[in-house]
Amino acid sequence: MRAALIKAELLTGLKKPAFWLGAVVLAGITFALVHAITIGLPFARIQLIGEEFAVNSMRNMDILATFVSWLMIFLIANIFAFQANRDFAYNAQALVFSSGVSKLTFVWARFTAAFTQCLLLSLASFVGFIAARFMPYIDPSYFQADSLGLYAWPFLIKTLPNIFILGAVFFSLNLLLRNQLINWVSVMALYLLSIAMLRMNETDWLAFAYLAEPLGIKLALASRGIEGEQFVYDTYLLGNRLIWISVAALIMVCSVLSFKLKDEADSLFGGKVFARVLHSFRRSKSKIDDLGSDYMQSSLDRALLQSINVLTWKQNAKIWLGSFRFELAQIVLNRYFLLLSFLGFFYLFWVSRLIGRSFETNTFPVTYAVLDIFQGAFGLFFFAIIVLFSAEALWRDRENKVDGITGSFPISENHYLSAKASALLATLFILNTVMMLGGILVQRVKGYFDHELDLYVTQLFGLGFIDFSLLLALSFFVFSLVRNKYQGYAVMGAYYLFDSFAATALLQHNLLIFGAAPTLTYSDLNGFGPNLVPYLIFKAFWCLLALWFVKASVWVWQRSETERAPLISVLKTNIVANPRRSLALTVSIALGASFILYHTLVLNSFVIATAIEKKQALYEETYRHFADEPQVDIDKLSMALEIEPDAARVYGQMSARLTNNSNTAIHHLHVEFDPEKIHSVIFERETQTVLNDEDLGVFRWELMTPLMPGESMIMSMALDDHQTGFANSGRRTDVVNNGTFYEPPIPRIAYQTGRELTGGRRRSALGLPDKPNYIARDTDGVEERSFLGLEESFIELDIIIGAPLDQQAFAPGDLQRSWQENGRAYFHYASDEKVLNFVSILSGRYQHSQATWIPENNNHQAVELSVYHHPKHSANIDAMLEASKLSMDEFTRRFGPYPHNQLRILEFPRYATYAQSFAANIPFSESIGFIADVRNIDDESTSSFAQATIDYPFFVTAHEIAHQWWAHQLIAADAEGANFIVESLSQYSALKVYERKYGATGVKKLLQYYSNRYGIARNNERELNRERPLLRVRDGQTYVHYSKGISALYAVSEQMGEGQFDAALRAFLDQYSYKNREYPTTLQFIDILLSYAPNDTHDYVKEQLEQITLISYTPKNAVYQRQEDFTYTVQASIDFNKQFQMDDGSLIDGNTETLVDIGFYNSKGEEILVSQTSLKNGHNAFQFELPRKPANMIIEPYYKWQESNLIKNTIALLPAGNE
Amino acid sequence: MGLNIENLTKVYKNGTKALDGVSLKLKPGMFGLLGPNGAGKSTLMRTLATLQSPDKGSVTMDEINVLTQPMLVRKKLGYLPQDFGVYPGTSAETLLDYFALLKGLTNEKQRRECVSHLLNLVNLYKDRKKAVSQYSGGMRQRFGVAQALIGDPYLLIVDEPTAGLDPMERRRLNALLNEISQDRLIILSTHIVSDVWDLCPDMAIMSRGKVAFQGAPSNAVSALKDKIWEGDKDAECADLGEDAQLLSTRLRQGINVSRVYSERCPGKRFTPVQPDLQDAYFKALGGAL
Repeated sequence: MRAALIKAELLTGLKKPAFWLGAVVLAGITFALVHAITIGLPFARIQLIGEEFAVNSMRNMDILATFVSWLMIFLIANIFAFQANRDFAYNAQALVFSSGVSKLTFVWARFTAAFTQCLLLSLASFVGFIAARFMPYIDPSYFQADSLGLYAWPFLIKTLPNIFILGAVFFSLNLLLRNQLINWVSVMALYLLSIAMLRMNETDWLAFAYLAEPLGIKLALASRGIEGEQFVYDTYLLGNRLIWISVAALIMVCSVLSFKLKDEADSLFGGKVFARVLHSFRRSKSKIDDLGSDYMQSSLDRALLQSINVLTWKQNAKIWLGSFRFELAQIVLNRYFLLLSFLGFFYLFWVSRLIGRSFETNTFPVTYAVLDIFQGAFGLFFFAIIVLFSAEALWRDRENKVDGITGSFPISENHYLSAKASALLATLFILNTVMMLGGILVQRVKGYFDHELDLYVTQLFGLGFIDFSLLLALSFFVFSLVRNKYQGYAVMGAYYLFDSFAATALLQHNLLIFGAAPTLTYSDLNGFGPNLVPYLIFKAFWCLLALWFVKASVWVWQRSETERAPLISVLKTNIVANPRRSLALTVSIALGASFILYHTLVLNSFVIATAIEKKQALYEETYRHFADEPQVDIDKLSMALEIEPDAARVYGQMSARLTNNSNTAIHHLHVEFDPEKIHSVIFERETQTVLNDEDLGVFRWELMTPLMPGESMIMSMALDDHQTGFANSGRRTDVVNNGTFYEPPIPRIAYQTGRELTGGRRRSALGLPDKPNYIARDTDGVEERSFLGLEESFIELDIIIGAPLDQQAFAPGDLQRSWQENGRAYFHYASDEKVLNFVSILSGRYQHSQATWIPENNNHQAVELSVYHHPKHSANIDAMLEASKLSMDEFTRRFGPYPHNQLRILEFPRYATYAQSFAANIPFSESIGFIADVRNIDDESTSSFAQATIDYPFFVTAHEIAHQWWAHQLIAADAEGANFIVESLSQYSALKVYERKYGATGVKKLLQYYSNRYGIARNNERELNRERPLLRVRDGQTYVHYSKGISALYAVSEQMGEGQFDAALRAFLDQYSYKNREYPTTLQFIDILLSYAPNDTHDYVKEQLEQITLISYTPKNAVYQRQEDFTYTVQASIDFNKQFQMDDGSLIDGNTETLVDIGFYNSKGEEILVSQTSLKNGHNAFQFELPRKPANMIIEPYYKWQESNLIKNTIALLPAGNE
Repeated sequence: MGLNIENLTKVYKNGTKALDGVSLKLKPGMFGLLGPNGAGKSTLMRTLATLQSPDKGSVTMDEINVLTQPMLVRKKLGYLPQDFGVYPGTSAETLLDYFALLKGLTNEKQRRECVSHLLNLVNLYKDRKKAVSQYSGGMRQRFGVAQALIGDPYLLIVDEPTAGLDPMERRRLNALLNEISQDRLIILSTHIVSDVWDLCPDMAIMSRGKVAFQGAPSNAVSALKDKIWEGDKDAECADLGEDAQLLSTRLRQGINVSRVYSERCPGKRFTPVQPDLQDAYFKALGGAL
């Protein structure tokens, strides 16, 4: 009976075309994915994996299996809901339930049928993957050898349990509640839980997040499936799966117990409360008994019934308002709406922890940051509410069979639909208002009172409502068009997935993506900025198109359930009925599209990624042979530039002194620049143009008289850099009304290796020879070229900038003079010392805060310290100035003099979110530091709501100032490890300034933060770009050169003694500062360092810097015992393991002993003793004598070694005998 | 004011010919529409109620073209669908008030009076605060009648209004319909033949999408005078004319009784009886079904 029933149910499911459509789509997605990774589409390429890794690695298969089950949520929900619900949907429950089927059989059959269907669907995705993998044209080198485990394991551990977990939840809810909306509410709840857990990355909560994330997505992203390495998250994986399978099973048991094979539920499992809650979500089936007398009374008074035949507009408006009110009540009083909103706002308050979060420290909850987080978090809710409730509104009458009545009322489609749409918009208005109040509440709770109501209103009710209306129009159109609601859900679900994950990558141009527009970034400095106009133009275009949707909705929407005329004839009838209006709309859409295309394709260039790659390849093929040609160097640059912020234009004159530093005569000049920006190039000597490649920007001149070694000549040129109209990405954000941050396009001399295409497979796809994607540090001649790609990196610089009178403009070097002329302000910058050929220009309306650094002993000139900032951003100015002073103190003492008289921090709008160091100038983004809320930095007990762990305005300032030494005085050679010299040394330097201000506690927090970042990033990035040892770090491995660099250098400095370490740094600097063509690599660095390091520390230094060393440990037991003299003895043992990761990614056990810090702390967290202990791999036991009573033992309190697994390093000590 | 239906044809996608060249002229008063299930009654009613459009044909109500000017018709229309539902959880009073507003009763005071009058009329006043979705079948049907009467429509289309009503309610509803039919056009679709006999001066019988008969019920009956014969189960039809047909077989006190249409006595044990509308109905449908 049971088997037969399952079979029957299954066959019913399999016969549905939707099932096969789902299977084809899933198979298609994985099939396309493999193609996108290996071949790439003609215009887009998705990079999911690194060059040298297999597409079908264990980790990728794990991610794929998880992704597939995530992708299937909608399908799973629908299939299980259908199986649980369909008797009720078709009113057949009485027949089925009276047929004598036992409850268990019924539930079992339905569940198994749904489960099998989902299983088959998920297999389709594997079929798609395997099919693509064996396509003859796919490069097999992308794949490793197949094995059953490779596919079976992720399937068993991810796909299968996920289907069960999701299925159980959806099945149970539907079995008990019998309502479609509950599906969407539960999808939403699961989705939010997943996202919330994915975003939870604090060390203390990591384990919880791994376990609580229902689908194992977080684990998939974190797991390391590389062969030879243990699967470190095994424990979490099994735990996660067990927890969720149990939860799902429990839900199933409860629902089966409380489910009755009857039309109504009388007593429900779980007591009265549960029953009542459940009951309130069910449509009551109970009937009122008709006890009234059974005939009608009184006689008809027809006068009372009369309606008005011809209505005034006022009366019409009254009727419209009535239906609007009715529709609104239908939405906002809907239980599921209330539940959904409740979920949404709960989530909102949860994510408000994350407002402006970086360095584990919150920013002030400035309004734009609150809105960024809230609107981002609520985006999916608004989507769900618009889709679910527009479907409800459009189908309400038909589903409730009221359509016969309301359809015959003298109410037009326009009226009905506009009332429904307005009710939805009003709902969104209410939600937005609540969101705004929530934002204000969050701001007040965090002690921030500048609410910027105008920004709230503009964002939420102005710009936000454009998007709502567009989506609403689309949704109305879809749900008017489809023949049943589920088709509509499927279309809108597919639209959502496509729009959020694939649209931009595949379609690229905003005009191809419904509702898309250039990114609009609000900043305090520059308001909505230059993109507001193009943004509104794009949106206006979409609104026109949406009008078509609206019109078509009115035409195709059915006021009652009847057979509809074919779509074409409906459109034809309606267009013919009013041809002028339809034509006007179509013409204006065409005009709008042409206008946008003219701006984005003609006035501005639109280049797709693969076209850029082809250009790179063409450049290399055409000009590679010039690579070794001796060329001149730019050794002096002069500029006189005018900034016109309102026109987004920079223009003026530039000149470069070209010097022949080679030992042969130079006959040809090879210059590269963008001819759209630079023109009128003139040389001091007679030249003849021999190459004029405007497309690639390569120009060559023959010198009539060759430039002899040591000779110089001037090249002068005009710059005119402006933008006409707007591009697909909008207007430029580097030259703006307030807060210009502009890098002049200085011409490059000689063939530029940096322009070549990188990436082995891409190169070979375009027919280019192999090229290593980094330069080994022992390559011959590596010292010739710096990290900037220049042979002559240190040059003379002389810049005059003109700006509007109300702005101040900045360039590298010391300000020599400023004056006013012709109604404009001028600023002249130059420097005594040579500076890096690394130029940016800033300009804006700033408030100026300043201080003067006066050295303790008069061995250095005083330095003027300044912060130029937005008047509102004053909270951290003192911290920045203090950091500047302390940095000057520390760095001049440790490394040597600062070469300028001024040091300026310059705020720029948050179009970028970093700080950068130029000679004497530090552009600093508005979004990092200026609005950081570090008021609670010393308060350990602060809630996570306004957490301040690291004073990063202070730390980032110190880091950038450190670059005035590490980069601006000593620049690394262009080779692996260059980022170590520039970034890691700056990190160490900044740490020393931080230590001076915040002591050991501050250092500990900073190192913990970076150690955590390293651990997380290492897991996420390693396949993309396999980790390299610190001294051979590659570009882009920030988690190595920032995060690991700081702790490794701290460890080395502590080990060899800070004095010795600083002496080594100073010696390194002394030997290489300001030297062109003698750029050092880390080979020179380590030589100098080891010459200062005591012999017994050499191994330690090498393990920290030259190797990837990973430790892991498991504390076994730790107890303390009080001695008679009131001292304490601690006995502890740990299992310890040290491993080295080799270049091929494999791990080998280290057999040397490791010096590990073990610290003891009292219950207040105060340090009692930190002892460096030598540990060997395996079991270690040790004993410590302590003067006071310890509470905790902390292994590696300063995070000197990198851990292979992020685990808690604090162990609570127990009194002996109590363990 | 009358309704003129000409050559109305509707074929559904599945091939069903619901209306096949229906032409009818309706004068004010009560018009009965008889026909078995699937005869096309509801399609015709829904078409007249502007809920769907035919493939061919025209419908005019005085100057109004019903098919192309639905809004003008709806202003004069009251419609009680055969099978209707309501919004879950909405009370009768709220719903009726909302419907009254949609039908153009914009004056609040008048609307309130209208609603309570109608609720009293259909005896739902006591339960007006309760959700219509929880009403019993009869109550719901009465609610349907109430909403159809809002606006005192000139054209009232009632599709099987007495379905689910007990005999007393049915009688009262018929009286009500009769009362308002004085200067109005009421189209009553039903398969209860006696309702049509009782109420309608004019009627049509539909069969398979076609009009099988239109005229006064009395005309239909008088045409059968002396041509209806009744016999029990043992009666033998010995002498049937070419146009003779078995109209129906009914049970009377447990005995099967056949009624036969025939120009002359069909045989022994047949006795002549007075024709009734039911005979006319079956005759129009083409014999026993």
